[in-house]
Amino acid sequence: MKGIVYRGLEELVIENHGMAAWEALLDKHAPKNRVYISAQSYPDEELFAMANEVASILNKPLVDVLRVFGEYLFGYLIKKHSRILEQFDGFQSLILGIDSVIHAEVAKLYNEPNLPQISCEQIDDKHILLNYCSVRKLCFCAEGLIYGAGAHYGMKTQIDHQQCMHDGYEQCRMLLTYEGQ
Amino acid sequence: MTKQAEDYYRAYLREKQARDELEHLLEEKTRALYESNQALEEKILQLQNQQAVLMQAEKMATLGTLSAGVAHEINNPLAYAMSNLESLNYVKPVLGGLLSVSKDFIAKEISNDDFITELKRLNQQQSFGFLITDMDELLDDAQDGLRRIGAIVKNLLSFARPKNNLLAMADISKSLESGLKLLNNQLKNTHLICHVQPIPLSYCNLATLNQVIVNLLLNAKQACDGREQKAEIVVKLFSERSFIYLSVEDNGCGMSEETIKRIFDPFFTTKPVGQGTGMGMSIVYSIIQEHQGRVLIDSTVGAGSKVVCELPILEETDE
Ligand code: HEM
Ligand SMILES: Nc1ncnc2c1ncn2[C@@H]1O[C@H](COP(=O)(O)OP(=O)(O)OP(=O)(O)O)[C@@H](O)[C@H]1O
Ligand SMILES: [Mg+2]
Repeated sequence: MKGIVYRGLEELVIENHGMAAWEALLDKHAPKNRVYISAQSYPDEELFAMANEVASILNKPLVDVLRVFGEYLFGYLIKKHSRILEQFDGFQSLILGIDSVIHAEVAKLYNEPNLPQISCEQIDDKHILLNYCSVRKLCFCAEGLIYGAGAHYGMKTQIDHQQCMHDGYEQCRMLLTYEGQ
Repeated sequence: MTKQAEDYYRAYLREKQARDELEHLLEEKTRALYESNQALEEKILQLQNQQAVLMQAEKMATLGTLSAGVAHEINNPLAYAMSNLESLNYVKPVLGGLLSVSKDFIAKEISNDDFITELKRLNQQQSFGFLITDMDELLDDAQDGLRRIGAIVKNLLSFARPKNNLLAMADISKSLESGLKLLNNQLKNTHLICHVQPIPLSYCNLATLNQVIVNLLLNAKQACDGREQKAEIVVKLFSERSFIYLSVEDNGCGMSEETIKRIFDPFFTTKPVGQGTGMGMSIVYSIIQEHQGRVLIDSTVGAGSKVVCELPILEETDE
């Protein structure tokens, strides 16, 4: 996972729980003197371990933690890459462009990123069927990212996670329902 | 927050901002790199396409010159072979008459007088004297024309597919020897100097290299024809570093820039119609090319020419 994702987590943790909490997470789950840099890749295990730890400290399901993190991460990502967002005129076009525009841009900025495969199908002007596939199975993080995008555009967003890789499906299927503005 | 904690936090924020700025810088540069790399790749593709187009154009041009040349070269001898055979057509009735009256006479079916009358009639129709002298000429010329077409076709074939089935580790001086033997007669009025050094074996085709030597020697000899001083041809065969060199030098007429430029073009010749097909040097070129070598020309008008074939010494596995 690229450092930029860890940095999003770092910001989230420090903002809500202070520097000591982040230091404790690092001490426990990262090699000594670890500093995350956006363009560098780090073992996925570090992220998973920290997410698990946060879940147990907050006494919340991991799924929820990932969702919250995803939502926060969206804001963090667009803060750092505001140019990418300029290409979209709203929530719908952004969702339809995750794979072909956003992550395509990411591939230009970062060397060999590990990106999920996301494909979308527009059902009508309130519904998009989104398929997610990745060996990292970070679909709940994806949910969070989508909620984050919804919040950014002031949309009321709902996700029906109809099929999940965690239940043995080849890919996750999510029906997005959105309304607003 | 305590004062100390606050200080730490501010230091952290400053460090964080430094990281942010550096990351931003890095990402911008990565992006720029990505883009220029993309542009370069596009350029390369474009260049490759252009090159392919050029090569195709060149091929078509060669094919064009080749066909035009072949047509032109074959047309002349074909025309006179045809017109001669047509002329023979005109004398066919008289020849037929002669044969049938002779047959009747031998079979005693007609009298002496009738025979003579018939002969006289035929002689009037077409003078026998004319027939005797002319027919030989007509036939010889037709045959010449056809032979010439045969030679052109043979040259074309060896140009199109030089027999490369005879590759073997061999001594190129063998080719030189047999080439010289072949031209022994034609070179007898020429002062021929040969410097042949022992050379290593190389993976080559002695038969086609023999063709190279014959063509170079013939050109050298023809360049000297009709010139005042005695023809002098120097042939050298030697090896240096990883190459074998074969050079043929003459004190003949030499070549203009224009001729040197076009010397390898199929059917390019400065020799009078009927003397050169202009295939010699293009065959030489394609054979040396097949041996992964080069042909170098050095010539001065009025002083002479030197043609050098540079052949890399090849092992059987170098193919
Ligand atoms: C709603 C929109 C988005 C969704 C659903 C989404 C989904 C995801 C997911 C699930 C991952 C985790 C990797 C995986 O699952 O295999 C990921 C990675 C990533 N995404 Fe997105 N993403 C979105 C928008 C963005 C935006 C706006 C950016 C901004 C540049 C971005 C940049 C990245 C980067 C840098 C990674 C990490 C790649 C790596 O670790 O090598 N994504 N994305
Ligand atoms: N040694 C030489 N000295 C001067 N001119 C030469 C020499 N070798 C080649 N040339 C020039 O190059 C032309 C092309 O040579 P090339 O051997 O291909 O054809 P050619 O000798 O004219 O005909 P062909 O060899 O087919 O009978 C010649 O017509 C001549 O003008
Ligand atoms: Mg010649």
